[in-house]
Amino acid sequence: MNCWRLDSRFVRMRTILPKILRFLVPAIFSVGGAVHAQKPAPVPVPPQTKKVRIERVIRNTAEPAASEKAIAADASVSIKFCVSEGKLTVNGWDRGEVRVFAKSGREIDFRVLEKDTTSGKPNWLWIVSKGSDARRMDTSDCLLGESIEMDVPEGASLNITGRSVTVKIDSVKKASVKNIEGNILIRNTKGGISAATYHGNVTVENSAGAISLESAAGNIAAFRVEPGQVGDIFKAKSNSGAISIQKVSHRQIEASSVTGSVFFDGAFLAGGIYNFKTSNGALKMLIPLDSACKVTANYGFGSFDSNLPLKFIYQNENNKARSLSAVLGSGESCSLNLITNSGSIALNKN
Amino acid sequence: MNTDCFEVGTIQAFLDGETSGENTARIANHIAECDICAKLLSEAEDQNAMVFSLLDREMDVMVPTHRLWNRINESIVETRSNLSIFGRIRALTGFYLANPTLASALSLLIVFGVIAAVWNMRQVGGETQTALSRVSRENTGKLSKQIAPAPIISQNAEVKGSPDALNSGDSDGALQTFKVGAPERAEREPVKSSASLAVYRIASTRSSYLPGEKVYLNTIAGLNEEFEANRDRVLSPSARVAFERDLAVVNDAIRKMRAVVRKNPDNQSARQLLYASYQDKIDLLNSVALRDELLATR
Repeated sequence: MNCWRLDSRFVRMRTILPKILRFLVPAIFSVGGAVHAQKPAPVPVPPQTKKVRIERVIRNTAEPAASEKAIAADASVSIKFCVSEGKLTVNGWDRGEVRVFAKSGREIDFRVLEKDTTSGKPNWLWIVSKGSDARRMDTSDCLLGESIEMDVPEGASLNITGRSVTVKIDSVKKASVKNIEGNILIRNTKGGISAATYHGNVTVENSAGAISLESAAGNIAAFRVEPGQVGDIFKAKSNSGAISIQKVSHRQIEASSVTGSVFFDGAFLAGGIYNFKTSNGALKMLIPLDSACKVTANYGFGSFDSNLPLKFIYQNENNKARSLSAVLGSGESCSLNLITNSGSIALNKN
Repeated sequence: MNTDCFEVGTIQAFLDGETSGENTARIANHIAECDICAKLLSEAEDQNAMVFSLLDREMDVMVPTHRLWNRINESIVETRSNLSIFGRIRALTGFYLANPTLASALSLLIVFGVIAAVWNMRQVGGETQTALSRVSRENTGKLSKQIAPAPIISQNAEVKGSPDALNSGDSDGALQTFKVGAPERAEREPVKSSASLAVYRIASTRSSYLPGEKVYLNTIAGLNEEFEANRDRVLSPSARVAFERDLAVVNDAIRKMRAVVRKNPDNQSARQLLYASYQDKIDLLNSVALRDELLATR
């Protein structure tokens, strides 16, 4: 009886099992597929050899943590270099040596372009990043670093170009800086300055010589600047920035801003020619009460105001092209030309 | 009268100087001694005097006749010069009407001339219209394209229109100024079609520039072309915003001052301000060129 039962059960199993398998197998596969689709593909583990190769590449391209180099140079050495990015500080010192320190940047190299015939020391130096091609001048020549510090002889002349650099120069003879963006500050430079930046402020203080300052979209400030020799001109030009000129004793000053204002605080010297121009900004002059100048002002749609004694030669108050000519003070020892299209002009005593 | 006396004919010949030298001496000696011959000579002289007086009158008549002709010619010239236009036309018409063949040929010529002129006028007018509408379409398309992402750039659309259009502050003014007063673009660019040539001709006939203004405009046009080509590459978005704002200010200043100068070209201060504004614009565009130069070198 029992054997029959077992036998009948076995027979029943044999008939049911294929049916169960027929449903179960596709179900297992479909569930498995769905789970597989949900999971991200496993990252193939690179073999040990490849790992080593990657490490080598990284090691080769990594910039050194700091680089420093120095070279003996003539006291009046001319130095040229370019900086891609970073913060540049140049200080003059009383040693016949050029020292460059770059933090987190490219290694530095010196190229001597010319040597002084008497001292044998380099008097024309080109500072480049190490490994750059000497025959061609491209961005690979430019210094790069989080901060670059230089010590140069006090009599050095600098010629710097940069892309995105904040420049600080102190106590050198002459400086010429062209920068795309970044502020420029130059101090204690007595042999003339030429500084131009497209996007940034330009500040010059306690310097002398022919001065040319330009900023497209930044402010310009000059403080305590004097001519190095007779005929030196002070020029400042900005597109949308303000120009502030204080205690500048050049006899020829030209300052113009398109949409910014021009502020002058100083004295007009005898024989001087002073031209100030803005399209729609303000022109504000703070000058001594005893100034003696011939004033010519074209102020279009703008206004003119003075609290200094003016003797008018003519005044055209036509509301579309206003202009005047007047004598300030006792005589016409200098010439002051003020031009604004729709801004205001103010002459005040300082 | 003795036998040595001469005949009247001989005395007349003597008087006229027709006798030979020997005879003349002989006659002269005889007349000096013979009263009869002297009387004959005297009569002959009287006759001569009478004849010469008549001849003189005749000769005098000849001279005034020549003078008269001269005077007549002069008066004719004077009359012609003083003749009014209507008088001349009347005279001319009368002359031509007197000759029917000439009159018909002339009328044919006039008719052909009028037809040709009308035909040319229509063609130029049509081409001008086409060109202007094309320019209008291009400008509107350009403006709509450029205004859509950033309205500030519309200022440049106007700059692109023509050098003179840079001076106009509003974008609508671009087409108008191109029509009436901007030959520079046509000069600057090679003339591609008769339509643009027609527009240029119209523009050049109507435009007027201050001394030196054209140089400024040409310089601006050149720099502007450069700027348009490199604008996106050179300027970052923030720098572009600042630049466009400055440019708009300068364009506005130029437009205003230009209007003032056009009203009164002798206004020296307005002229100076206009030139200063042009210079500002040149400085602005130059600053972009400087940046481009720095980017290229570094």
